[in-house]
Amino acid sequence: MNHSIIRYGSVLFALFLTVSGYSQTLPLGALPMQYNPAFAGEAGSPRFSSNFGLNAIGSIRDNSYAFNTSYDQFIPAIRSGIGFSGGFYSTSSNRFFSSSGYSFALAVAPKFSLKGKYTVSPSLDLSYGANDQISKTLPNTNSTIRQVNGYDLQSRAGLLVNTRKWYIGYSVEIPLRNAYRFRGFDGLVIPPSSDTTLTSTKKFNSYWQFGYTFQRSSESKFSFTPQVVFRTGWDPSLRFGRNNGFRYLSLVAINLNFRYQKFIWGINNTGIHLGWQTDKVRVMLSNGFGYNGRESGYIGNATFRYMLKQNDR
Amino acid sequence: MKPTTSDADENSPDLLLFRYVEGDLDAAQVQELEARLASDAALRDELAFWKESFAEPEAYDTAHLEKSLLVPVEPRWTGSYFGTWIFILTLTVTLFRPVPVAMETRPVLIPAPVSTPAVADVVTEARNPEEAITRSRMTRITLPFREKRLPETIEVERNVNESIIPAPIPGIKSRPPEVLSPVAQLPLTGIKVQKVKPKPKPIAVARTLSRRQGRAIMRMKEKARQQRKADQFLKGNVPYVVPLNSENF
Repeated sequence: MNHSIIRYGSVLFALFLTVSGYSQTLPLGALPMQYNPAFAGEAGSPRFSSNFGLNAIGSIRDNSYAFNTSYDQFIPAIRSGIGFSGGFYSTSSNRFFSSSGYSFALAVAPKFSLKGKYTVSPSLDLSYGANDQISKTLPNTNSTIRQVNGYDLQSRAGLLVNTRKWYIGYSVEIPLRNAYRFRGFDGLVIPPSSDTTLTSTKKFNSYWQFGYTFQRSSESKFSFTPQVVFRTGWDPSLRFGRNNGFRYLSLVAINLNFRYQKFIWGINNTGIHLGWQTDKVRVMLSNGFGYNGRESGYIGNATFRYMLKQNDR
Repeated sequence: MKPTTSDADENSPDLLLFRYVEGDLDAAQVQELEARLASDAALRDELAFWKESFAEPEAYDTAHLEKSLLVPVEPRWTGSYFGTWIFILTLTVTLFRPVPVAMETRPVLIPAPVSTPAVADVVTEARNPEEAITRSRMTRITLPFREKRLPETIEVERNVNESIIPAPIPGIKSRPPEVLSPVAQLPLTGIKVQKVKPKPKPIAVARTLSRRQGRAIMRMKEKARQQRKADQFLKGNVPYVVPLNSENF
């Protein structure tokens, strides 16, 4: 009874915390469902993950922070995993521009076990995100401030194949609705106008995610686990000559993680990380440098994960 | 009277070779003799003969003692499971069967020679004349009922200084009697029995594996470990999904 309260309480907590749309870069692996919703319930146990990130870039302190969290678990009755994720972010210290936003998502991922060694999991999720972008008054002018409210409704379809040692994941974004609304005009730069709504473009984004553990045996104290995420897509709005659109392939995130007993260290897409990890708990700090196009600064992330293992219930 | 070793010439080649084979020479003598052996072929032949005719006499012939004194032990019975229980049952019945104790003494009544009772006896035992007659005719003695007890210790006396002359052993080539040197006919005193300590047989021979073989064995073990986990999944002892190793991911 008490365990059920904890379990569903955590779900509600994750649901109401829900927040952000991954606007800030996260260390790969901090949120399991960041790039592929099929990771929902993958652990077989209830799992709570969270990450707090802070950017401090430039002399004017182009600060931003973000908090993201997720909860997922496997439900044996339906042999599926469910997951909730969300977060919020804020970039507010810039004199000229600030923005903030939140998002949340719900994912369902049925699981199929093959020979007790492999798990194949298709998945589908639905996410909603909203953001406000405010351009402030320009100094020494009468200028113009504009506020843009945007919202984003989209779905993702994913597929994950994994063993205890490796995984291959693929997910596709399915844009459902993507709109911006302009309002709050003042000044001369932008003429007054009524609210404007822009419909989404037909963009195609997909993510490939790979991970493999190099370990002499499953009981070895030392292991090396590289993980990478590639994004491949097509944007028909970017046409060059007779091209149908712009196709791209880029490396989105990376995590080269070393582990000796319970100590972990390595390099990820936000910097160098150091932490402590067991099969239940992970606490990790990442430190790196960021660059906003003009100046460089500090990027820090604190990651926490807790899994409610079978023997705890 | 045969000469003894004390009377023999210590530098006699035969005696030196004999003591060399026996291992009784000191280091200096051994070194000297080996130097001579290196240069003297005839002496080497003589040494070969001595080595060839070396024999170990038995210190004691205990076979007949063991045969006469020790209780023979039945060969160990190894049968089937059912037969083993039969054996145990039989053994139990045998052990708990009442057995007469060795050296048990029992009173035996033996009739004494008949004698005419005296008049005084008749007068003193007047209350019960029949009992008096019976007591006067019986004598109480004690005889050993059964005596087959083995002695706990056996003492064998042997004169340590007595000379032991080894008998010729059939099958070993020996020199004709006429060629034997006087030293060879000397009585041997205090023959030293060579004790060869058998090397312990190793229980398991350690194999040296190459790195490739080691990796192959490790892979096999890992495969078996994963198979056991997979079996647990299929039996439903663990959740349905196969999770990633949460210690690494």
